[in-house]
Amino acid sequence: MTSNQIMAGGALGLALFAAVAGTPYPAGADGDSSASSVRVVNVAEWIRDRRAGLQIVDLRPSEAFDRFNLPTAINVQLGALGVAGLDSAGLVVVYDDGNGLAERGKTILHALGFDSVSVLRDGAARWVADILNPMVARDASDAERAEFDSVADLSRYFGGMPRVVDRIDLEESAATQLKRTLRRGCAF
Amino acid sequence: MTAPLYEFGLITENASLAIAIGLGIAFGFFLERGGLGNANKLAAQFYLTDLAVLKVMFSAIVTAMLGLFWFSKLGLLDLDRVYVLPTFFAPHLVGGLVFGVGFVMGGLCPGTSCVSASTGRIDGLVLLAGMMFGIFVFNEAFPLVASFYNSTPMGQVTIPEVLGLSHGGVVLLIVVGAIGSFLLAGRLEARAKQGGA
Amino acid sequence: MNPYLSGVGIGVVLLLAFLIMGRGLGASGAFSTIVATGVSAVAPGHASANLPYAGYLGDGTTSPLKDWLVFEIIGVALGGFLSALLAGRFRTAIDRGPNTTDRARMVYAFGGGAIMGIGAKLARGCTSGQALTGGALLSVGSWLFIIGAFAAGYLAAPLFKRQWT
Repeated sequence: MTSNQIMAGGALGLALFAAVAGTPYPAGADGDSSASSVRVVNVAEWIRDRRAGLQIVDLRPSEAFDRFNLPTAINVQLGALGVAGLDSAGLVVVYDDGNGLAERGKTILHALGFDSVSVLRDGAARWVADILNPMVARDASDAERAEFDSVADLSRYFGGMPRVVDRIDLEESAATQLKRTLRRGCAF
Repeated sequence: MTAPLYEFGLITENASLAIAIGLGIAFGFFLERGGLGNANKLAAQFYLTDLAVLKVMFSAIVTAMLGLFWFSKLGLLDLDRVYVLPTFFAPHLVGGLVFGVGFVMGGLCPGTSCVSASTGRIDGLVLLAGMMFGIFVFNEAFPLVASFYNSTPMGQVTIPEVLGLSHGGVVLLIVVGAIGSFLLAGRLEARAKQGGA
Repeated sequence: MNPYLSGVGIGVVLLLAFLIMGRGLGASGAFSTIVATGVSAVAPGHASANLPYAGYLGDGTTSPLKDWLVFEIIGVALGGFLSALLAGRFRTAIDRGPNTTDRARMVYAFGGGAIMGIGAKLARGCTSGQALTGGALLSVGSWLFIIGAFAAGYLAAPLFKRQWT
């Protein structure tokens, strides 16, 4: 290999890793919102506790937002993040449909001077699943049962339906689950 | 300890000037090594016979760009304390166009003309004089261009922001683009050599 | 030296500038300072009253030439000199194309320099400050400058063909 090829290969390798990493900021950098991503359960607790300065931002198209959105969320497109009137002193949680929009929104907000930005892990679908339709199998372990119980109250607060089932059905797609949830009429 | 060291109070003013000379020496050294102290070689870029300018510039940009990304990612550099030049869309674009005309006309840019002059080339010296004259003219005519000069401000925007891509994604695009342009450059130079020699 | 290697070397120098000083390299800015200092020496009232000069003159407590970029380009000249000396490339000469005269070259060098001076002022930088520094930082304005400069260079090249080929 020539030295040119080595340099080119090295640059390409570093660039590929950079693209995978996405943001040049270290993971879990600073502040109490130190996690660059958060679980739906935590966000649910923050909403329920009316955490001061919490802003939930839905980055999806308005049709998706109108169909279903997290409670207290506002719908902002990527390009409008700078003029959406968000408070940079508070904690911003951004979410999408798991297609990368949230990561981009986080990058943009950081560049706009927002220190506390977190991405909702696994997007809106995770909220529909874990908060609005939490399930535990009849023969689950004690630990699993305890976890389910702690989420159940939270779920009911948001109009969800915690269920004990014979068998956890993993085949149900996010879209089907959302349709089923919306038919119930209790998802905000 | 994080970089930039100066921003964290670790470098005195006088030390920073010494560092300026040191970095300048290295910069000038590598420019001359790359042959960029010679106006013929620089101008050849625009006649597609010798694309050293492209090769040197873009390998430098890519190297520093990757370095910035990874030093920041590894927590060794606080990227927020590195000054990003504010963008003024129209002046930047028009300034670039004007600069490009002067570049192919004079065959040297400000930095390389220093190298050219210090390696004995009189045309480099003359170009530096011309450049200072141009700066003087601009300054004297400033009231006429002031509104254009300050127009279309966009703030300290970066490419990832305006394209809605991740920083790392843009890095990859630029590296791929640079390598592609290097391959093209090699082909163009080979063709020029066959045609001319 | 392999141009890619020379480029990587410059890239490392640029990176060091970011890591140590939190800023990149530059060139045209130093010449703005020199011009401002010169004008101020000849016509101090005029210089301090006009914005483009005043910005480079500081507050009068220290010499405006005690400036980071000015020291840097002194280094650039030294570095180039050293490299040429070590390689035996130092030579008093005029670099020009084979089909033009020394005199024409001088005229074009001065003219090209003047035009670049104007372009660099408009863009708030040159190939060192905008293209290299801003380019590595992915600044939009800097990449506009790069694209504009290369595009204009190629488009204007036919006008100066006699100069170089």
